[in-house]
Amino acid sequence: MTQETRELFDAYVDNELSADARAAFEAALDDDGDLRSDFDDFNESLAMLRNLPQQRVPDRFLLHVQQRIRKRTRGRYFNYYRQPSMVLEAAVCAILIFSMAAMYLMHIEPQKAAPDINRVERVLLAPADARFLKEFGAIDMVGTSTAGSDLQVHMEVSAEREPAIREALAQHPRLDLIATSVHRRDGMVWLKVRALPGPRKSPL
Amino acid sequence: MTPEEERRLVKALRRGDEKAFNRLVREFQTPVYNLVYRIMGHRREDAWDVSQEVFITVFRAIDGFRGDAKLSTWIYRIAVNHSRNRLKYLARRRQGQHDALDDVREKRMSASEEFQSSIPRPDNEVEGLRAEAFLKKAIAALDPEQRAVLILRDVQSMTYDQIVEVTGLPIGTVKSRIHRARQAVQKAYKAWKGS
Repeated sequence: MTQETRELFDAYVDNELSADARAAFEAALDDDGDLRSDFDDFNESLAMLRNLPQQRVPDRFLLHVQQRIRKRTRGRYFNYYRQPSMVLEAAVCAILIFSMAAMYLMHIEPQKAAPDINRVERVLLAPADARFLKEFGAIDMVGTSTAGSDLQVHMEVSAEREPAIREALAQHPRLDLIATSVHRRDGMVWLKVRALPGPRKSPL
Repeated sequence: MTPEEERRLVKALRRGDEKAFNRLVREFQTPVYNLVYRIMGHRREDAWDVSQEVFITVFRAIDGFRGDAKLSTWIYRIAVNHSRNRLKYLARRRQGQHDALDDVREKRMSASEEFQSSIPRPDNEVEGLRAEAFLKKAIAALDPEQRAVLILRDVQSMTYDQIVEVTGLPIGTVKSRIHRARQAVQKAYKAWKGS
């Protein structure tokens, strides 16, 4: 009976006995001092097992796991240098640097806004030169552009006046007709005149 | 971790999400390390190594997780299998004898513990440490198969059904192994108490 009851220690502590069996087991413990002593030892050893302190995980456990995975996947995972955000940032930087280098090598300058004719007159075109061009009969300044430090004045004049303005510009100290090919349209001639800043130009 | 959280975590792991994996390791590193450490008979060097292998296997084999059991159960199964395999390997290699080099490593690994133990403690704490040392020996002296199920049941507080899932053993085998293991520990405890 005692050996059989001892076999019930597990079932008792695991709450697997029926109510009747449980009562019978407890009665047996009360009746048998040796059985009670054995059961107390069993219970105490079990309590010790259940109260074993948790072991602290060694430092940098995660880091070591990551390192092993990185090594075994040949850097596909947990590779600091291949983080998606880093890749993106590096790509953007590379594109910017490449673009700037290409622009520098190809001498491409950023486009400048077309200068306003009035502003150009005030700032770049000497007032006397502007007056000269405007006073030249029916001169219509339709636009300007800059090339380097030169000011270019685009004009439309009637075809009849073209020989006269050509001759006048040839004599002018700072204005120079640079459009050798003219575009005729509705009896008008398109001219491109360069205004040279600085000292007077030498006579041709 | 709720079932929904677990489902999301598994989905992220399958995508190879590194942050999800980091979260998984932080969540399970303590129970996994403790389980492996106990099953390995409190050999720190091996527990350190085997625990890492457990998580590497999880990372590699997450596609094979079908979701029939809880994620934790699946991870513990991997931990138990890795521990068993390592024990078998060690048994073959040493044939029951301690390797001198491993002993040196063990001493080095436990040096910090000894240092901590040398700090004066109250009497009840000293008694607690003595009891813990005894228990470690008693557990380490068990047959590895008995040791694994005893730890799952009485240290990790798993139910019998969970142990069946983790070990893949029939319920009868689990119960009989736990019964024999408990008897062995009780016997050792009686002797230790009397000494």
